[in-house]
Amino acid sequence: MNFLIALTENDKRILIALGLLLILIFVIVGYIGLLVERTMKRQAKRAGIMMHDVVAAKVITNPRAFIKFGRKKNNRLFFKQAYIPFLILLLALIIYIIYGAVTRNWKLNIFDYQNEGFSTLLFIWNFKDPKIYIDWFGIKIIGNWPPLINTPHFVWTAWASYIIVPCLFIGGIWLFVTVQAHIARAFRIRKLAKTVFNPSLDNVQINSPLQNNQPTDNNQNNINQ
Amino acid sequence: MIDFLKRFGLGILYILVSPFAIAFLVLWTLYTIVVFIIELIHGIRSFFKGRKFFDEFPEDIEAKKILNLEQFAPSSTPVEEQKEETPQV
Repeated sequence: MNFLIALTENDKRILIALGLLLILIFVIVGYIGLLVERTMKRQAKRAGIMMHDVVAAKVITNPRAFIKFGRKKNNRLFFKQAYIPFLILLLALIIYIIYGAVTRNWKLNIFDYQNEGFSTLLFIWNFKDPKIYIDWFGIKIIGNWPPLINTPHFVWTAWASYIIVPCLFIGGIWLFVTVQAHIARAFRIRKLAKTVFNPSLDNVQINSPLQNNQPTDNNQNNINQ
Repeated sequence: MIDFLKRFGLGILYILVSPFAIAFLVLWTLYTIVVFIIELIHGIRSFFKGRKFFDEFPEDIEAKKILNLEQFAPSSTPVEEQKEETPQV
């Protein structure tokens, strides 16, 4: 079956805009992935540093012990890196409990924009307004700028949210970075365990002459003289 | 341009893989929370036994000893040979 689709000028514009938006999203995600990859590689280098001494001193001599000891060191390093974000998250929990105990309101909506949420400090647009959507080949897409329903204003009753939300945000991202570092080191330790103790034949050529016996240029000159 | 196309392709791949990556990250986060609690209990127990919050691992202590011994070990070169090499005036 052949479908004949008649595109108006407006439809073409929307189609081009959507295509460009998709390309932009994919490229941005690609660069975010690159950033995460590079960060993890940098974080993984710490695994080599913390395991160097025990391998150099030959205290650990097999991959199994290497992984076991690596896990212990990795966990301890994680604790040292993660206790501050955990304390920040704990502070958020304590503030929530204090707020609940004082106001007897245990259903605090931290994202509310009218009375008690952090969103009172933000610009809020109403994306639920049906008037801003247009119909495009049976799909509802946004066609107009949504109406502004809140401008930043300070509300005293939202004091708990003003502390809890930044704590959750900072503590959460910080914890995410430390967890990512923990993952990077764990993978690096596993990889090192395979390479450090296993002799490799990758750089050995059986037919090539031994390097120590090869005359250098200086030696060759001396012989000729 | 090639880098741009590569990023574009990888962007699609990352979007497809992202649900699994997020699930993996969440599971690993839960594991690290358990690790954190275990390390905390271990540290507190160690502290109340009169030691440091985090003692050094026995393997690390042993490694340091060996490496220090190697560092300060006398060189194997005989003293007389060294004397012979010094130029005479």
